[in-house]
Amino acid sequence: MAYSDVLLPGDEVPQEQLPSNPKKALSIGPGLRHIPPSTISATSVGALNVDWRRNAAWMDVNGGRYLPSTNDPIIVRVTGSSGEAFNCQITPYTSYAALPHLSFQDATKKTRPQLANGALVYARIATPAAHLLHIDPELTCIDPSTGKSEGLGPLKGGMLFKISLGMARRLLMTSKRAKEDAKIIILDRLGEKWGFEVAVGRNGYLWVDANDIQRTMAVGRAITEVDEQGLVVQEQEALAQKVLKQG
Amino acid sequence: MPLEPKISVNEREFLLDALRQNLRLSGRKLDALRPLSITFDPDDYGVTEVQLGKTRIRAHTQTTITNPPPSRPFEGTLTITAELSPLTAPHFELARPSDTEALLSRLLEKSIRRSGALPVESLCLLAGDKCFNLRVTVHVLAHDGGLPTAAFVAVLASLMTSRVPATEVRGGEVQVFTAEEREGVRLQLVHVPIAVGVSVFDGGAIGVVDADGMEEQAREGEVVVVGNEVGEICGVTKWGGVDVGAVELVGMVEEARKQCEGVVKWLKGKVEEEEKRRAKRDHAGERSAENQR
Amino acid sequence: MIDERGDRCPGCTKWYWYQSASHTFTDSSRTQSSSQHLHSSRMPLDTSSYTLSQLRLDGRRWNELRRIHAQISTHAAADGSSYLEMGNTKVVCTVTGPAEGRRAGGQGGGGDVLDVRVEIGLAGFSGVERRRQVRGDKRIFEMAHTITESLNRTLLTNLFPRSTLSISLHVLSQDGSLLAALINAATLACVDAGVPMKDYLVACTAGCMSAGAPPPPQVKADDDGSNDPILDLTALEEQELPFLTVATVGAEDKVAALVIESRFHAGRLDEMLAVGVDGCKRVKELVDEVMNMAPKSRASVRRAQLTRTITDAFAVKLRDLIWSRGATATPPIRLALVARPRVALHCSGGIFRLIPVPVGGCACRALAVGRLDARLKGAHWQGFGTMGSDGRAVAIEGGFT
Repeated sequence: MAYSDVLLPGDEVPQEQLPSNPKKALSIGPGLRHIPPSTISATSVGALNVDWRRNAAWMDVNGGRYLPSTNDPIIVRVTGSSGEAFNCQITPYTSYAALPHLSFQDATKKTRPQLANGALVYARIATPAAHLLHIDPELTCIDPSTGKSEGLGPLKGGMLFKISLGMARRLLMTSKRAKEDAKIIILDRLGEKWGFEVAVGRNGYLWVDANDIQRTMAVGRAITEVDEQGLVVQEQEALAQKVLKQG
Repeated sequence: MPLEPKISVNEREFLLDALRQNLRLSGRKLDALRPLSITFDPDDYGVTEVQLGKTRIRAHTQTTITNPPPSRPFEGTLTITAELSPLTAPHFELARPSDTEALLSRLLEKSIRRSGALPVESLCLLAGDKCFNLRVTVHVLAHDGGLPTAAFVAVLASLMTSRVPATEVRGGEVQVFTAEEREGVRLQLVHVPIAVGVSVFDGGAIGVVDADGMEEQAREGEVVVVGNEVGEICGVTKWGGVDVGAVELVGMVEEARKQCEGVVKWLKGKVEEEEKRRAKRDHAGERSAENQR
Repeated sequence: MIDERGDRCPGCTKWYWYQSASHTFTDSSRTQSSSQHLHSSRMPLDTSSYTLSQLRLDGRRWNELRRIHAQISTHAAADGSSYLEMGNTKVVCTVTGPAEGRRAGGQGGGGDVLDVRVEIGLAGFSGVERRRQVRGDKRIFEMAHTITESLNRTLLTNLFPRSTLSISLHVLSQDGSLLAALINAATLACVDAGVPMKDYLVACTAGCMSAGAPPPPQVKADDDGSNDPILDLTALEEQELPFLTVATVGAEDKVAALVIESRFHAGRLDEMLAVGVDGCKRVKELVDEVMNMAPKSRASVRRAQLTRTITDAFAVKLRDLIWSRGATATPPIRLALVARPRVALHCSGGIFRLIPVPVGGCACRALAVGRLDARLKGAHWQGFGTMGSDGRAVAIEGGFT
């Protein structure tokens, strides 16, 4: 996987930039369109991403509204409770997602968490919205394979920061290889000196808790700065030094 | 109707805890305004755009000639209207004016008109017959708190840089000149009122100047102070909210009023700069030997 | 010269005799009237000799309220109602609720707290000129907004989730201090409706005789007093002088709302606010008096009910609290009437004072302050109870401090 060019809608993707694995069919992801016989053109503005190993190509779009898709970890705000589920807001001005009362680890009717209006929950999307059927997305705080929370659940304390969707995606790349591509080192550098908890929501939110207001703020601000100014690795290194010195 | 998004409990509590330690998320001090900037339309008079942090407001002054109201034959009219449309945020609708819009319009109108910043008598052309009608429209382009401050700066800057057409009264007839015939006349403002808001937190114990959008959602009350450059108060509004001790309240008002003075000074400087730039540009043509033929 | 017999207490009909009549209105009282005044509970003593020039157009002195006449329970159809006159400003208020919420757009009033709605109707004949009320008048809207926002923090709105309280105000006659009169009338009606509140929300206006000049650093002895702050302005005074409307919670210096729409030197603010806050204190006393004069039969019945209901409820609540603190056996809780209307609440090892605060015909509040015994680590418990207009509903709030 590598970043290459920025494409505009209608731009043709040069053949040499597409992966050409003779054994597999080329699979194209969001933002690309296949015009038979062999033209691939962009449908949205962004950077072209290719995975030579899987013979895949897609567009990275940093902007717009978050669209729920299955298994995405997101940070939601509880806005109320009805019957058997909490109503949660994924992004402002969109309809609510349902988080069933029993979809928490070890939750029974008696032990389920009591979440007040405005509480934050780190959850995963179980089923995305089906607009044609008028079904809102459903969330869960349990990993279906293990039955455990795996870090999901209500977020207590801390602070929420708004980040771009691209940043959220980069922060969520955890495998070693992907991490190198993501080029985010600020969290690691800060984490070497300070202890803090972070939760990244694919919907463009970052939750930070360092048990200390100043440090929480410093971590949140550092990430937002990297995000807004598009700092490269060296600049992040310098920023981390600066932040650690001040805090 | 999309509802205004609210902030979470975590954010609210964090903000409050931080304020108790004199910290703000933006890194500002509790009594600091966000950076203000202003741009003037280079081609038009009285069109300004003000940016306060992420809040952006555009104001536009239009002048027409009408008949004065029969009850006030010696006065012109000045109306100021604020508009918050879906381009500010999706929860503002055009068809249904929001509370924010009504309160902002009211605040602007009462503080600028009732404090007599622009003497409406000067807008009278012919008693009982002709007068200028000034109409200032305020468009909120982006809302991240501090609407009063940004709106006052925009409106006042717009009034200070706008021109009314030159006129002459001859034998009971008013002759109006176009901008080509005669240069327009600058409005004479008596004083410059500017609003600064102090948001109240923690049961009235903490006062924070110029709250941003998130702080506005978390606050428990607000005191909007309108002050001018000569140490006067032109209006104070505390529409309920948490109760504040009288002594503390006087302190907050004084604090905000001092900030107002600073903003007026800055604004006057900016307007003078702009007027000088304009004068230079307008007269550059006259001085040059070349012409268009 | 004013009446030789003494001084009339501003705002009420009692006459007071003042001891000294030798000095005229000079510095001593003047300096007191400024910022220090915020701390003193009473206005400075006036002397009885006044020159005519020191009187206002309607014959009042600078710190006199106009006559306040008020009544509660005036409208049978409403849950709470009041009629209030401040001089020639006359308003009627009716309150419906707290009732199940109804909200436009089918949202069903679903807030976490009581939704307070205020409507103001201006009678066509209320002003000098006959005028029909314009729909969407921003001035009226702002007044309604101010009352809503002030009441939101004064009423215990968290006790009534998903409910609406509709307050409807009607202005019959306008002669200055309109917003203040509306706030006072709304408070009276809310008390009458039995809506629990922290304290009265009371308001009045204060003005200043000179706008432009900063206050003199030292008042000269020969000053004729024409630069004084003045209390409770009429329409005529409001037109001519800078003034402010201030609303406070109870008789303390807690300002809930402050509205200034005129221009004056900033140095004048503290003395004006001081006079205004002090005026609010006196309005509160007058409102208290109105409550005590409310129909006797109804009030006394309610008060007796309160004593029973609230003390019972407190006892139950206390027992729960003691249990929750790890007590193994329920300590006996005894209620004893010490002296009406004061009730003492005894529980083994600790004593609570329960002070019912009769606030009128139907609503009552009680405050319990006390400490538990050493076994419970001397915890202080503060509570606060309210009885609704039906005499049954009791809301208790409180906790260990």
